[in-house]
Amino acid sequence: MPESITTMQIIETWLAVGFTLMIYTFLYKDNPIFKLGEYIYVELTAGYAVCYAWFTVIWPDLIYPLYRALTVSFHIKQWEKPLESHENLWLIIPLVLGILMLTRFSSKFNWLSRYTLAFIMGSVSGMSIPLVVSANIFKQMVPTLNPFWGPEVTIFQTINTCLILVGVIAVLIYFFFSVEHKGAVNKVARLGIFYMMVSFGAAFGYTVMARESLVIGRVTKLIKWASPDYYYATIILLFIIIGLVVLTELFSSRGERTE
Amino acid sequence: MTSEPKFHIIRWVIFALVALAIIIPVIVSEKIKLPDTSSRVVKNIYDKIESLPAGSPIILSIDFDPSSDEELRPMTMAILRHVFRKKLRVIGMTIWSPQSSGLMGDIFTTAAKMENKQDGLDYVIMPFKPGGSSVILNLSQDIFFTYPKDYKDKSTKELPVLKGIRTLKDMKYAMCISAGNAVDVWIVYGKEKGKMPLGAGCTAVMATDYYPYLQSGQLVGLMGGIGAAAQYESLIGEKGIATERMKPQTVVHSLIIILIVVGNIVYFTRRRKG
Repeated sequence: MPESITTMQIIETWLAVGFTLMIYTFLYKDNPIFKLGEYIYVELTAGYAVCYAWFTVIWPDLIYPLYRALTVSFHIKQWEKPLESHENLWLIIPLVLGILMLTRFSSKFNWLSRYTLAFIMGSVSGMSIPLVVSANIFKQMVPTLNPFWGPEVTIFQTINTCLILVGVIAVLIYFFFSVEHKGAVNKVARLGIFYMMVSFGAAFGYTVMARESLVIGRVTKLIKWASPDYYYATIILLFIIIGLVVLTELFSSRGERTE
Repeated sequence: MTSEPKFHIIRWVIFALVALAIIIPVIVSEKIKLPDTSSRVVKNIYDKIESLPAGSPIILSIDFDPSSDEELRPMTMAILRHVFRKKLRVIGMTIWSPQSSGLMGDIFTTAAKMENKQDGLDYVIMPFKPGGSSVILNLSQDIFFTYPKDYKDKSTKELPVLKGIRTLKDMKYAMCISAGNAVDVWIVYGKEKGKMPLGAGCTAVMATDYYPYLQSGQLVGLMGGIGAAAQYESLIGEKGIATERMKPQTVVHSLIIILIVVGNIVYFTRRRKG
């Protein structure tokens, strides 16, 4: 083992290789080994998120400041450090709203969670509507309103503006169902389909690249981890995982025959 | 029904071909040479960072988790190395998920080590706060109220890297590298409130969604997937993981193009035969 690789890293590597191969067994078919890997990943993620939320948000931003504010307000305890601006009794409101959300687990009291949801929907709508309209509608209209010619406009920009303008109108007409798609409307709508096909093709090409990137990244690491530095983790675990998949297949086929 | 076993075999043949197209170029990667190219949208981000004077504060929002690490880490590393070399002050944050914080810590520490930068002096990592848009809106009012403490539990008011910064409007540039809808959130809330230039990096799957924002000028530039990361590595003269991974990527792309062409030929031939 090279000096730069610690025992902890070796353990981490073996775990990473094991879980990667467990998930890749899905290529064969949905099987218990894949399910085990999937469930462990999901549960770990959920557990990590809960712990992280507690230690970085719920405790430091809500419980602890509220506790300090309550103890000072009711003269229960004196603190060396004075209260900061965010440490006040207003924190009771988010605490109560948060607790109300947990009533969703009770069939009797779950209606109480609607108050929290109403608060969230109201406040988020108020905050979002002006900004969303500005960013996603008004500013998105700008490219369709670019000048076709002018002292600083090149021929390519003119072609680009034409393509954008025609594309926007054609696709909008395709989704305009109040008029029957016949004659000229039908032709423009079909042009809209052509535009969308180009868009879907580009999206598909990018999607292939995205999925390959993930596989290539993982395969590169699996090849690296097959080296003696990592005690042949990939090779050994590959045989173990294949063996486990074969065993589960044998057991399941025997179970089916018995039934 | 008779075509099902055939389809099953073809599926496995395709799996095997893709596996070979990945494994062989990874093993013989030194022998494969790819030309250096960079698209305009990627170069715009590079040019924007180049144009910023040393000491300018910027935000780097790392909004991805381990499931997209393989695709987005290379571009994050390339961007970070570039901004560190330009001596910009970097505020690392995330609005995506708690898992992003750990990743961000790892990426920042690695890049800082490579470029000899110090935590608290050249960069700061903020802990994850839930709320997405609310976090950005809070940043537009007061950074210290949003993040009273950094990732290492140090008081942010005492950090030299945040000297002279109060709100989002003090930022000279912001960049969101995301595997989800964080770029949309940054465009709608960050850009609208902060008015600073905004760049985006995203998984290749999402790249086409953001091209309209480039045309409207809401985004300075866009980096989509590993291809863009390789282009950025070439721009900063630091060929790394992304450049290496583009080699098998290119081989697999060629294979997929061939498969599509063959599939179409087979389809049309069969149709003609009836």
